[in-house]
Amino acid sequence: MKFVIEKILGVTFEEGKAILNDPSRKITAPVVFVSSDEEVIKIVESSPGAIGVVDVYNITSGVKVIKIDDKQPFDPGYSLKGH
Amino acid sequence: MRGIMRIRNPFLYAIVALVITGAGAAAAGAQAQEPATGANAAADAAPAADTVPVTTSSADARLDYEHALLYHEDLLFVDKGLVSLRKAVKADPHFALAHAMLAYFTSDPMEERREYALAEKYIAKASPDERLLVRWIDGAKNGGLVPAIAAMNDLLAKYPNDKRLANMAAEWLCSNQAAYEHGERILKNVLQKDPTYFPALNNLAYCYALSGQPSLAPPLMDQYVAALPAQPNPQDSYGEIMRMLGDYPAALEHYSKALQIDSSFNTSQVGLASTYALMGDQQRARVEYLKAIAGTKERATKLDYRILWAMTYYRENQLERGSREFAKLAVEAHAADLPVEEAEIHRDMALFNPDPRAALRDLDAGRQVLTENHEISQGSREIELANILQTRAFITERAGMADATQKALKPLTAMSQTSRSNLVQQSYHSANGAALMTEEKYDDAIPELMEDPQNPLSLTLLAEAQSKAGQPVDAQKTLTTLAAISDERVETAFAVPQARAALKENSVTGGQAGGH
Repeated sequence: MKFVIEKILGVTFEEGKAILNDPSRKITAPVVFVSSDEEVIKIVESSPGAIGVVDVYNITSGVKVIKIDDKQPFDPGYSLKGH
Repeated sequence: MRGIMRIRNPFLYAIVALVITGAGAAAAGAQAQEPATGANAAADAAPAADTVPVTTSSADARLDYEHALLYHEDLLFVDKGLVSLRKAVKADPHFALAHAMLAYFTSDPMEERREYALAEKYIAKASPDERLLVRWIDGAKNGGLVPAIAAMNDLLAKYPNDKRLANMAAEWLCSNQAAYEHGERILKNVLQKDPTYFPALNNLAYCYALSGQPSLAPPLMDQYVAALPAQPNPQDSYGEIMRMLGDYPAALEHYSKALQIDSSFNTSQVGLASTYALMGDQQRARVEYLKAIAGTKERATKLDYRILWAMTYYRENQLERGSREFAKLAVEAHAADLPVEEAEIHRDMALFNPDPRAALRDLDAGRQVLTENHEISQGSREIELANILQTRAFITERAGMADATQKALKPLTAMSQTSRSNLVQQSYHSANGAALMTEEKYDDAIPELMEDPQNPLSLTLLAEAQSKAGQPVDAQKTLTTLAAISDERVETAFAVPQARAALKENSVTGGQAGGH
């Protein structure tokens, strides 16, 4: 998932992680880093309003996949695709 | 033997999904959608058995279905598996899961379309978990990938001990989706629970070979062969793996052993023939292909093997003879109402046609077939049309016909904006790369061509683009990747010998890669 942080924040993964973990960040929603996609799915399933980032091959029907610019994963031009 | 023949993907990428709470929503758009259950709900609800239930009113149909999976999935007697599935749907015409499996496994486009329609018609009679299974296999083949993946993962969570289900999922992930890590994880998990479940051993070896870890595959094959000495598929798989690795003598040896065990194991017969073809012994290849053609009753498979037979003439540069044989096959494909094969035959002829304008007429003939009224799925029609347009872009770029390259790109661009098929997307990127090359925009062409890393035509263009963009090391790497491809595709037959010759020339002259 490193490329997602790099793509969205325009910094390296480590820099991005530091920014998101910074306690002085003026935002109420916490950012949680967990060790597996299964954990992300579990947390998102049980936390209304939570948004998670997972590899598309780990999705289940217990979560809703959000469209980005009206595109689902595998749609032409879907943005969260990278090396 | 294992699934659809693919090559190693040297430019892997990941797709991530943003997910929020909301059960059932991942499957939006899926037909026969269940009330929202959620993966954990699915996992928590204890299944009545270790395996996905099978709903049929007929004991005979159930037995035939079980035989079909044993033959097709475990022992890889593919034709026998299809015959058993046909018997199952005959014994119980309302057997939705058997209709869906038949649609998934058949090579006959008419049968595929008919059986999917029947699976949909009778799906309401099946259990909720069978409906999930149908949603997965339908989505996997017809482009509804998000609900398909969600359904697959729900089933894997609910039936952690269903080895065949896990094996099928991993095979799809490795062979069709290039999702190697996921496939490997599932297979290792299966083998940890049951080291004697040999179909998983077989698939894990293929997964390693496809994912660029080829040295891990032969030891698994040794185990597979030792465990099932009386079965032909372990030897057949070993042969195919060795052929993928470019060790043709070892491939011949294993295919021959498979045929000694069971002379009717036809995938080894065609494997033997194709290995001779790749080695350059076209006369022997033709003899062996004829045996394979006689050995199958599946009409689409028979035609596929006949295409491989005819291709041997192109391989030995007998272009007129090759075109004559292919023209005959086109007539036969038309008479047999196999339009995808007919269009493919015209595309093959175009690639080997030395006159670019005549090649474009071949491609027009292929495109014409796809506009006619045939019983084929929209997905199959779309993919073949994308292949034709991609080939058109390649041929015209090579011939310096820049306007014609743009003309090929235009309809592909339109298709790429609506199609979720990876293959259509890859064809678009390849054609766009070709079009950028006609404008000498090599830096822009490179990332486009890298989006289609499994196609020898795209790799040919990529090596040249890299060379012209001043990236000789990358160009040489691409050429080496291309030269190492050992499979039966027409693009391989066309492009790989040229790549090998270019590499040889480079090693002699110390020159740069990619020139033609």
